[in-house]
Amino acid sequence: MAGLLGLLDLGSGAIIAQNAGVAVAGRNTANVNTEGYSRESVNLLAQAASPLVGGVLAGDTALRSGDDLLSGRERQAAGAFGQSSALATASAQLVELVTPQGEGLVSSIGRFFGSINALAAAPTDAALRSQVVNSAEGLASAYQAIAASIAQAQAEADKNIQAIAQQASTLAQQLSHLNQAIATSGDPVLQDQRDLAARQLAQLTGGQARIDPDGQMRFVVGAGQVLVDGFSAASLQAVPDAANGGHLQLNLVNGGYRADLTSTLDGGQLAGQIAFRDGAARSAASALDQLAYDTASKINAVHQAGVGLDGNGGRDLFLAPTAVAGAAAAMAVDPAVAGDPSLVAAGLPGGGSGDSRNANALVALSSQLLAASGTATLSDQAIQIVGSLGSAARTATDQQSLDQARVQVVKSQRDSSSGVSTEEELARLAQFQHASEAASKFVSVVNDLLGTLINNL
Amino acid sequence: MRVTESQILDLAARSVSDGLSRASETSKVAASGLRVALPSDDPVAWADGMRAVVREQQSSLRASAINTSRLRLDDSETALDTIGKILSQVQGLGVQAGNETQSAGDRAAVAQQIRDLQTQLLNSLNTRDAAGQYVLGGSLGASPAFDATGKFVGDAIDKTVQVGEGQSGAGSVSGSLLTAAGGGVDVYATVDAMALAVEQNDPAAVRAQLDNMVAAIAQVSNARATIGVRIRALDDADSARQDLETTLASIKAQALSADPVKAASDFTAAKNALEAAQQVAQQIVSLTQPH
Repeated sequence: MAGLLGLLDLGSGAIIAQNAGVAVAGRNTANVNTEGYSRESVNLLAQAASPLVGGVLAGDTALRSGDDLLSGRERQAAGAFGQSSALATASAQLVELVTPQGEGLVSSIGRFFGSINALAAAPTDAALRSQVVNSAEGLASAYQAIAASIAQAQAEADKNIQAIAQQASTLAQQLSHLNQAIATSGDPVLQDQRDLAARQLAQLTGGQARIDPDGQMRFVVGAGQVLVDGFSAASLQAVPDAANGGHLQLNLVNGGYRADLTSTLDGGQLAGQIAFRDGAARSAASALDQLAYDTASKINAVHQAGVGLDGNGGRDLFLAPTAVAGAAAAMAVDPAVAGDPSLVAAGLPGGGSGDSRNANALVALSSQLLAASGTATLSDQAIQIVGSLGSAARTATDQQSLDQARVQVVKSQRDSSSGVSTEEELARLAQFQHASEAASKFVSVVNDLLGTLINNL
Repeated sequence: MRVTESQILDLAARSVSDGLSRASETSKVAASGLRVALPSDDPVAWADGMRAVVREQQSSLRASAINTSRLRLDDSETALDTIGKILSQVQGLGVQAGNETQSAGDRAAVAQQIRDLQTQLLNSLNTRDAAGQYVLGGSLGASPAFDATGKFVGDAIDKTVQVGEGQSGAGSVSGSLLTAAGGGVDVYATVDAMALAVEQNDPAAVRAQLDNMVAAIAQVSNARATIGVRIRALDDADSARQDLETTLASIKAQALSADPVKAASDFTAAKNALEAAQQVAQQIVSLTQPH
């Protein structure tokens, strides 16, 4: 049977244990808005009765209500959302940039052929000849503007890739440091911080994370390349790739080891930026170059067959493109024709200055299937190129909405499982406060008993 | 299910955010009148609208080509009208000169009149348009269609323009129609031959030329008929062009523009939904305040 002094120990232990509960409730309440924080609970352990009354002890650390399965889902959802949001944002920006220019290109094609038709009615009219040259220059400018916008968007994606790679490297370092801290400290907050860092990293790089039996987190990206393994972290580096037009290649570097992740990332903002740069933007740039090449070469072929007012032929209307790649950016009216509209070849050899037969041949090009390997007119292909960018942006935005909903669902599940409820914490606070007060009262009673006993001796 | 304040507040924030987003979208549509401003709004509708834009651009510039051609044909028609009148006068003078009762002096006077008319004829054959081009010269419009001897020195190349989608129309007639190469007699040479016969005081030769005069007049009439057909074709094409532009404007509006009533209705609905979401959010926030 415990003596009165033993009961004092029991009372003081109870006060300490209940105060620990107050402290944990207070910590939970304090972190109610802390991102990634998992609510904790005090680990109260009843002491074995020896020989009659046992006490209570608070465990060394609070119990964390984290759920590794949900954390994994959060990382997965974050990776998918990171990819789709980066792709959607970049695509939407490009569409907003290109649409007025796209409409300009489409209109320019219509205006160009319209001006040739107007010239066909009066081939010697100097004003109409100038109008043809102006509309041809407008057409070339429209091609150049769209090509510049796409190139700018791709350069912007490269900048983002550079910045995200640095950010991801920092997070990887942070993750390895947290692995180290967790190995030496049992504070559950460190696990929350590691989960948060891993989620943020997944949002940037995609990839998978797992907790090894030794409690260390291992984070792999791409086709299984290890970014974080215990205390060590690799870094992500973006370097120019000559084989990809000087665009940045994403490498995982760990000492002497280097792996190219550019085409193997399965999620995250980096994958989204790369998908935009090497996917929708590159396709649009290639298609635009092909269209510019077709436009210049087909129109030139007909123009060469005609003659200007000087009776001479064999001239190009547009600068002859040397290759498909870069044709849109290099599109321009031939300087000789630009400087002298009388050289626009409206007639055919043998005709007079009023001959409009070649102008008619040029006008006829507007309805011929000259683009997309002979399947579309020039204007239809221009619409198709800008439209496909819009379509890609729409798809990316829809995917982003789905992924965002998925993130919300998983977050809600996590909040339900691990989030802090202030109502609950207030109740627990009152519960531990009352228990602590009762323990104090118990100590006071024991103290009174001891006093009585001592005074009666 | 355990529900935390964070979940409730997230829900409230999302409801308000979604409401704001929807209100913003509908207000943009209502204010701009555009349902499809970007291809990402509706790729198919945007493409339909753009195709209409291209056709509109080309159609509006066809108006200029049609107008220019119409004016040239009007000038040609006026010239041929004058030529026809001259030929009729020459024919009348030929009938007069072919009369055996006419004296040599009478025929000399008639011959002079015919030569004067021949000069007028040459001027009419070399009629120029407002731009200074010889309307009957074919593609060689920069120089006179007929030389001083009345010989046709132009060519038979007509100016054609696109007057509709996939439809071409001639915007000129060549003076070759008034020559033997054009399928009849040489109009100027016929008048010249008549003048010569009258000058030679040879009534029989004069009468012999009258048949050629009839053929020349018929040839001019045929040329005028050709012009008439071409003018009619241009007028029809212009009318069709205007109808097409109205249709294209409608297609464009249908593809890209918003229905004002629907836009206003959508905006009001979105605004009401937002206000409701805000009120619910306020209630939720008050529920989550610690007691």
